Amino acid sequence: MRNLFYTLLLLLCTSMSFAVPIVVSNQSPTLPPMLGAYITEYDVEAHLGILKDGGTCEDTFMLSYFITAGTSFVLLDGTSLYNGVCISQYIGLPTCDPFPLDHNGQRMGVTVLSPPLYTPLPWYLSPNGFYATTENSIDCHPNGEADIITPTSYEKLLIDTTVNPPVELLKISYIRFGNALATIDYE
Amino acid sequence: MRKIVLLSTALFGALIVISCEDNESSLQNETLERNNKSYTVQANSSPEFSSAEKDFHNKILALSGNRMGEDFHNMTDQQREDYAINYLKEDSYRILKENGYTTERLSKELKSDLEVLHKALYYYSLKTNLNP
Repeated sequence: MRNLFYTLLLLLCTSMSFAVPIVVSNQSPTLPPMLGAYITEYDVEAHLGILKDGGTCEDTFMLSYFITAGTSFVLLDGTSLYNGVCISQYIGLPTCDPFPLDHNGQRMGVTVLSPPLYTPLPWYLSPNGFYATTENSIDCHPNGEADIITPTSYEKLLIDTTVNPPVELLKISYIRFGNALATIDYE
Repeated sequence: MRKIVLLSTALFGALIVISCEDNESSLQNETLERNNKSYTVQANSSPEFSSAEKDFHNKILALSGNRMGEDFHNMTDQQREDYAINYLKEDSYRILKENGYTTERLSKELKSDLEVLHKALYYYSLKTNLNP
């Protein structure tokens, strides 16, 4: 009887879990710098570390995207499409399974579009390296780059300090808003 | 006779080499194709947002960019969740109403503001994603 109770409880808890939609946005540059945005317009080639929500670092798989300046898209759950198939099937499951997603890190490259400054972006100002959060990935992929790292967020601000006054070029960030949504942002 | 055997062997060998080269080249083409596909743009560059979706979109961009005058990095997950749900609530309901949800249907099908937000994100994704 007790086993039946715990089994039912487990099933109930599983069915109550929420997917965490991930909104990916390239906001470069949708706002003028005086309103808190950055001067550089750029496209992003992003390699996003995605995993089942609640999974561990070893469960991470990579999704690659080319995200043009000013665009956004949403990864709702395992049924969202990647290269024409469900993400769940892309990682080897037989069915299009709506499992909740989480993000735990990324590598990226940027193509600067705003002439004539910093085209191309010099190596020392490029967002090289791996960005990761502490919750799911820090044990096997140390966060080499970000300025702010919390268990469920990170942020990197690229500043050119070789000029006077220093220029804030671009910002890369990830914030998870609990079970509501998560955002990956380039601006 | 030996010449014929040698010639046949040489021809057979040449056929194998050509066949392997073809395979290699087709494998290379497949790999290239796969690599190009992996950079497919998923985002719609000109989504036709309704007024509610446009407001929702702008608020999501503000949340993403941490431009709310709060520091999300210093908040707990629960605090961030409450903030996002509350901030996006009005536009989430507007989006659902635009998609045929009456007050009755809302209360029947969606149990919380969190579920309303997720449903609104679903409709939002139909506009932002090229392959919804």
